[in-house]
Amino acid sequence: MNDQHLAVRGASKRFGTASVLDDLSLAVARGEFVSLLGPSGCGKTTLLRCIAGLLRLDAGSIAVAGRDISALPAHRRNVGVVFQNYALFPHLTVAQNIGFGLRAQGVRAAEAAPRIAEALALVRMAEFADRPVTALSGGQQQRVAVARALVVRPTLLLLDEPFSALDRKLRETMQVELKHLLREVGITAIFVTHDQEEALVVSDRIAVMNAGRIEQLADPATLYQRPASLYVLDFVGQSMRLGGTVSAAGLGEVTVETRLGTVRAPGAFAPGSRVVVAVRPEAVTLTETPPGGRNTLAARVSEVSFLGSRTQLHLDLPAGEDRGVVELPRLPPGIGPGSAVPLAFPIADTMVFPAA
Amino acid sequence: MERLGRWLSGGALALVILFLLLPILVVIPVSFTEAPVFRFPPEGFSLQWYEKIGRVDGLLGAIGLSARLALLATVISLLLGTLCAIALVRGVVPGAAAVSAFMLSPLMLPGLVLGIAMLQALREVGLRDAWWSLLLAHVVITLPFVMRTVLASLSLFDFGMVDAARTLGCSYPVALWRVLVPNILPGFVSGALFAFIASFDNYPVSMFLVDVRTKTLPIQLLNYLEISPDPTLAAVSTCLIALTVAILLLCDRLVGLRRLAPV
Repeated sequence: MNDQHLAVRGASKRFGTASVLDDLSLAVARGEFVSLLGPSGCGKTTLLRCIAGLLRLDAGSIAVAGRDISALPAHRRNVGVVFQNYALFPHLTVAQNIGFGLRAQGVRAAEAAPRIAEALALVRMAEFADRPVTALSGGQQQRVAVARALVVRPTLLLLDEPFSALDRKLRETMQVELKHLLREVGITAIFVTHDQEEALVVSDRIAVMNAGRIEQLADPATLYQRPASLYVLDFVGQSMRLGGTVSAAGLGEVTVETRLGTVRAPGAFAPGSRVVVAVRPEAVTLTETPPGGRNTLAARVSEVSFLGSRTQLHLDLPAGEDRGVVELPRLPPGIGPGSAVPLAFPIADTMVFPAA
Repeated sequence: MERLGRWLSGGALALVILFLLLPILVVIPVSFTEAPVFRFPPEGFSLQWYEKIGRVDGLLGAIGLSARLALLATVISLLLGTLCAIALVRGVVPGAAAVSAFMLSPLMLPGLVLGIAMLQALREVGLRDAWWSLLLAHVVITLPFVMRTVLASLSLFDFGMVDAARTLGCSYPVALWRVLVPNILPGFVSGALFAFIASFDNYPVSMFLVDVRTKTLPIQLLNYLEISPDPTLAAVSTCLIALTVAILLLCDRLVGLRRLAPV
């Protein structure tokens, strides 16, 4: 990834005494989709607003296509933004909304008209050109917002929780549609979201943020299968996790004593260390006679949730750092709340983290 | 039963509207009377009282003064009021709620109190000129009208739109002009309208601040009534009604009455 399109270096931002961005660095390749994922207050929206120029960094720099834009005001950065509530202009029609940026940049009307028509066609809103934006549905408003941001040919597109205003069904359609559209345009895009499923769907890489820093930046599969920390493990996807103490270590493998039994996992910790072992829900099977290379534990089911394509078992674990969710393609007969179940999962899929 | 209730409430509404409107409507025919006294129904038809407006000493001057005063006070209030409202809505002011309540307080204050207070304060600092005293006092009177409507419009305004305009290539002032101003225009227009009228027909405050040569229209009218109560007053009133209707129609054309007076 030496084709760096966006490069944020050492970005810091404080509001009063609160540090919102803490020496954060981020590099995004041309044409890449990166999500900034984190809970509210982690600094993701602040980072987005700093890149857009709506906020100034206290320290650090932001470069787009090799050019430092840190000192430029928002209107001279040519960075497109799709806002959370779309921020369409209610006093203008759809076409006028899309043409707003062209007019602001002094593009002549004769030249602007075909570009507006092209943008309308791109988001399949051509027949709505002369409607007031207030008469549009949520999904249509989003398309107008995207077209308005793209028509000025920005060097970078920033999207702040673009799907949060849509209902669930529409959100899933729009996620795929928007990803496809942006890919077609070939633009580099940064999504801000607190929804991990959305991040997994739309991004090439995900930056999980925590307290003004990037905890891990990786592609969705790596993030899910090899989370760098307990924070990432908990934020992305579900898991069964058990606290324990390392009883033996060697040859890249540790043995951990947990409340439910002994677990082996690839890793390097000194004996006596407090750790947390974890496994993703779908890696677990219910069997008393597993093939080799697996950990086995016995647990009790507290609740069963039927999710359609799969069924979740919530395990009865004491409160604290233990959390137990197991997913099965189909619920075996005779298993319900209170049942004792034998759990098996591959040692290779077992993760181990230092206890928080 | 339900139908009876509807008839009753409808009837009450009609009566109240009639009660509010009749005295105003009576003035119009009276202004065209031939008789030299207020009498309804009017006798004959003449335009003599309209002619007389120009001949009554000081009446045209008072109309001009009141118009100038109302216009200038409204413009000053629009500028000041909008800037104050932006500051209050954007939350850069500590205790914004208390400050905005204070700025709206002249609406609740009896005009007499305000008039006496202004007179005392202005004379205290050595301002004796009637015109400047009136202008200052009328800015105080009109400011809350502008503040109230602009604050209401701004509280519904999404400042994210200004951000959007900035990322699309507008500098901050241009973004305000092209996005904020068109969206709060109804607030501007209705605020200006109320402000203008509040200034134009203010009596209790102006009363304390006028002098012999500088008299506003309401004061001049009352003076005239005391000397010679003839239908000239009805003619002036009819002109004012016509002016008000014209302004309302114009505003309706510009922004729509529905947006001027949201229920």
